[in-house]
Amino acid sequence: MSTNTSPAIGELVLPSRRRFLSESGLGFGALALASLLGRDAAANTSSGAAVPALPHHPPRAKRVIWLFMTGAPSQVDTWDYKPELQARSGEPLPGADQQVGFFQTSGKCLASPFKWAQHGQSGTWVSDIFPHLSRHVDEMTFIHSMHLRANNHAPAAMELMCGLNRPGMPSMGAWLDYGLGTMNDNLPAFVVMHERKPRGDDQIWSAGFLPKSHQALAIDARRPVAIDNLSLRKGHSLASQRAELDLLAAVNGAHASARPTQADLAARITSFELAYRMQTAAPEAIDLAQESQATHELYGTEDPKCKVFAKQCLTARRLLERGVRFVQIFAGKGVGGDGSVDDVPWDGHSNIETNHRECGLATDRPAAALLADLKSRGMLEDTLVIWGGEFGRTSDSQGGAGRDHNPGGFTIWLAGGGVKGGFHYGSTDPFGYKAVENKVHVNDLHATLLHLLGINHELLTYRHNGRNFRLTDVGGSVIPDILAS
Amino acid sequence: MMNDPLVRSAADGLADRARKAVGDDDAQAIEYCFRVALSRPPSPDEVARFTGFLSAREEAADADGANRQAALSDACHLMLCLNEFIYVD
Repeated sequence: MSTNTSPAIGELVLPSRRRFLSESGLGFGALALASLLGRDAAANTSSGAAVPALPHHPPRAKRVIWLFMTGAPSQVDTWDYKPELQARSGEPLPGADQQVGFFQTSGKCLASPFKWAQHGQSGTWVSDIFPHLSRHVDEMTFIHSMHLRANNHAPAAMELMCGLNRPGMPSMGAWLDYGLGTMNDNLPAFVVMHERKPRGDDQIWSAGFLPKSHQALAIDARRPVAIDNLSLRKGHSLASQRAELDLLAAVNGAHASARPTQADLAARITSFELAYRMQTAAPEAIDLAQESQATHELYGTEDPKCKVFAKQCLTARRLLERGVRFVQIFAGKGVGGDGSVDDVPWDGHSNIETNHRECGLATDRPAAALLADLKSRGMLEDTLVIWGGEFGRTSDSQGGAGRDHNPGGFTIWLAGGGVKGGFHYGSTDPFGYKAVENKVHVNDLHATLLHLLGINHELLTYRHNGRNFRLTDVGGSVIPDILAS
Repeated sequence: MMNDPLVRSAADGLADRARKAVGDDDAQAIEYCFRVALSRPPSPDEVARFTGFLSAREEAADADGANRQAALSDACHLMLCLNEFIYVD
């Protein structure tokens, strides 16, 4: 054992297992620490480069916003038009499988109750749930062949966000923060907005085993104050608080140096420093009063049907503009209340028509406004917009008018940041039930997203429990076809 | 942790307790708070840092009793924000 540790007087000194490993034997612990500290030091530089070689290639997108359609929209009622399903309503669904859904389905085709029309130069079929978004189809790449493993909300949302359908894994936003860092030292790199907490809770925006400084800032739309405790204590100034943080850093530093392998200690220090800087930057960033009346009208922040999502989308644009790397909005409840549960608004088990109509009203106008606003500000070309929920829904009915969960095939779309416009990739069978052509697993989607951000998904790793982990686990292939030339 | 009213009220309580227990001496107050919050006495370096912090705070404000107590509350607040307090080893 080395003798240079100076335990406090009166402290009973026994080497902890960690300290013993890090200071004894061949010193492999010390080597691991050196690499850990080297990486953390890099991650905390203002240039934001966490691993020296990043980005691995020139990025097409600098930032991402994911409009998460909580509860899982039905592909065959939104973006995946299936004439065969429309023609054969009530007839047996070929290949109907009782293992697909979460409850029980009828095995009989349910035609989409919505009106469908073709839009844009691309002639993309869209249901009339989306009168606003349908004007932007020529900006979008549709992936119709998404699939994943889990068939209930929480594990599926974890799979979609973290690559694996179990708790404890870092989510995509945390990986991006770890890999690319922030573009604004005064704001967090990863922000989540929600109304009711979606199923899966904090696990779906968790930093997992990554240092906790990569955790999302979650903004709850139900709370009167967006970010808690952002104003200084009475009688304090930034200068007096600076003196406090300096003292804290000095004493914490001595504590951490005696516990060299615990990355969370450094993360906590980092979080205090970020919180200090956010006190001035964050109130300005989320202040919607600075936006023009025209912008408020574009998003619909006064429209009772969509004002919650509208304010979230507008806040998101302000955050993206100020250098936040990844914003994720979990769509909140619809306006009418058709019996679906608030934390899974798109979950149309009982009546797909009333449920999806309401969810459309709550999200369509703000989402379209975000696309238009990003485009008019020249931000769409390096901002990747993603629309999608945790899985799709069954082509056969549940209880006559609803649809059950279906992770076997669903549609998401991407727009901006390096993807083609008006492009369709992959397909489901003629009934929209299962992905059949050019199937895209979550790992493939993540590999492609990371590629667009300049990252080789196989090289962005973090050592945990004795092996290197990736967002894409041991799978994932970039989809070259959807990349803009 | 820095601005939260709950943490602040705990810090105020700790500071009041320390003054009642050890009286007016800053170094003794710091040692008392360390023992309560962290179950150990402070190192000489820590005593110097914290009493230096108290002096600076007290000089900046009027050195009346109320401000002295506010400064000690600030010091206690920082102890509750230390990694040593927040994390179990």
